[in-house]
Amino acid sequence: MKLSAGQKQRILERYQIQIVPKDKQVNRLENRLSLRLDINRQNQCVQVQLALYTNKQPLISVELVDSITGLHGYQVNNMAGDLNIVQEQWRGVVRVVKAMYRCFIESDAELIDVYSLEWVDGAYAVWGIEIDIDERASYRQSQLVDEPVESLPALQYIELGGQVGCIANGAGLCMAMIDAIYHFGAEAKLAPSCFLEIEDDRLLEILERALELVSFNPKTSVVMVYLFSMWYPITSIAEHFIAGLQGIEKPVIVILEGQDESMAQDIIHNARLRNVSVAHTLTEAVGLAVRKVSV
Amino acid sequence: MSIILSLPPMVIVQGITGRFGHYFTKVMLDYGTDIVGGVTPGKGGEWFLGKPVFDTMKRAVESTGANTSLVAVPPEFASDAIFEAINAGIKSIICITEHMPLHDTMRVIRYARQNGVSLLGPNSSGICLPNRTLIGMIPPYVSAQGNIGIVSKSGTLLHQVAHLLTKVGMGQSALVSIGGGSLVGTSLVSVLQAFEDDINTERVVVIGEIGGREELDVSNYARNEMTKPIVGMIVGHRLPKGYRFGHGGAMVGGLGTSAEEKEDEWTKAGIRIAHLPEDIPKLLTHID
Repeated sequence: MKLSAGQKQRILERYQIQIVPKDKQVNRLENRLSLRLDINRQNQCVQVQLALYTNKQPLISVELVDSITGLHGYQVNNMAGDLNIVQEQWRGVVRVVKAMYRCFIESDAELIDVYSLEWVDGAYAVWGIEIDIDERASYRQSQLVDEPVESLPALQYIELGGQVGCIANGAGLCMAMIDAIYHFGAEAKLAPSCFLEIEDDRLLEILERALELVSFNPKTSVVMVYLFSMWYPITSIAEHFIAGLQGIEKPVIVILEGQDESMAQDIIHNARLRNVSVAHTLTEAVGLAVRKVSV
Repeated sequence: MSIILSLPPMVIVQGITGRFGHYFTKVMLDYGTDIVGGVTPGKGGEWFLGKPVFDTMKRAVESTGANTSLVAVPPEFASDAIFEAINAGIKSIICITEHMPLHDTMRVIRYARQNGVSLLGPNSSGICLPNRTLIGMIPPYVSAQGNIGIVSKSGTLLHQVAHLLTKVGMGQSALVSIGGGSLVGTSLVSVLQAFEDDINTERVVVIGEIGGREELDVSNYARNEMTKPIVGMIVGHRLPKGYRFGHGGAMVGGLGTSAEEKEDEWTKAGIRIAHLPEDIPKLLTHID
């Protein structure tokens, strides 16, 4: 979640970090000090990078900070030393890096990127800042966010531009469907129109909305659905699937997998819905989709 | 499998009276998992599903001798639950909580490593040693006992591939879900190492996806250390850059994070590539 200019200003004020006045913001590649804090996923720690861009090779200093023990003063001194920071600006660098680190931790940031740190009136000020906050932590960052934060939605929808809508109750499963479409549908120039994942524990509640969302997309000409039983019996899923198809006329291909999958498939067959076909594998589902698209 | 799971596991469910804890404790008890109790602060002294409930992990471990914890609490409480489990002396933690804040995840992974504790997840669907134990959300019907080890980032794909194998009579030694987040406690390679050392595992299936660079570590391990044959599948081909596809870590970004690049690396490392789940049984048969 990227912060707006106003949000960034508020957060910087809280950590007493000055912003470079607009008339002094000079966009230059050389003689520029920059700072970047992000999460080093390989080492599960915060990576702090201070860099000085000169007309020669840039000087870059990186410290990995253990998130349990936090940033130590000596680590900032190491970076200032690596970049040959002059004596009168040394304390200023230490202060601004420590403040930015506190800001990074306390605001649950995934990234803080400062394009330029400028020495203004005896202190370092910043400009060209990007701050990205972890959405999963927005419930405890309400002071940063202008709108009240709602809980994360139980479905995720991404437009992809093709003609086959893909719905599954699992991200991996939905990606496997998309792979199958590209793999077996290449000759027929089949491509996914969207990716829609439903969180499994809210599948029955959300399924109807998901079917609507995908089938009402004008680019979608066929809908492929993969429903796997985990929380709910596959027969209940089949019943909700049929109920959710009200008003949908586009062809729908469904794979139902679970302990009593043949009973679930019977439920679909017995509903005698003309636009719905049951497939048993991804290969079969894509084969059906190719036929429906070419009709 | 002792690298990733204390054996035999004696399990405490943290959040046993919550929605997830309640549902999956019932499933695990039916499977025969040795659940020795649960923790819900404020409900200590009660009994739930025939198991004692404790206020704290310290009391739960002292009273039951538990060595394993299933963390089934909402994301805002998950890091606290994991710290508590580690400090109470638990050695294996399986965290099924989804949407855990990144900074919390980073801290608990660090703390678990510093304390020699195995942490599966967050956002893991669990671990199953068929006919022995099941800890987490893996549906019991998908697995059958055998000699194939499966490890996956995605929970649903783990279930689907196991079910496919079960349906064609190919049983499994273990099903392990490491979680689809960008930060997870146990890596794909750690699980491969466990499979390499496990006498019950003869062949291995690894399921990766777009995002992160962990699959590249798998290539190195497969090339240099692994003697058992591996079938691999990466999902998310041709997906656009910069979007998160469901899992926190499933995003094509920098070099080496696309499905195509990962698949190339795996092929070079001698891993047999399945393009779809239904290719896996056939490939496993041919690598015998």
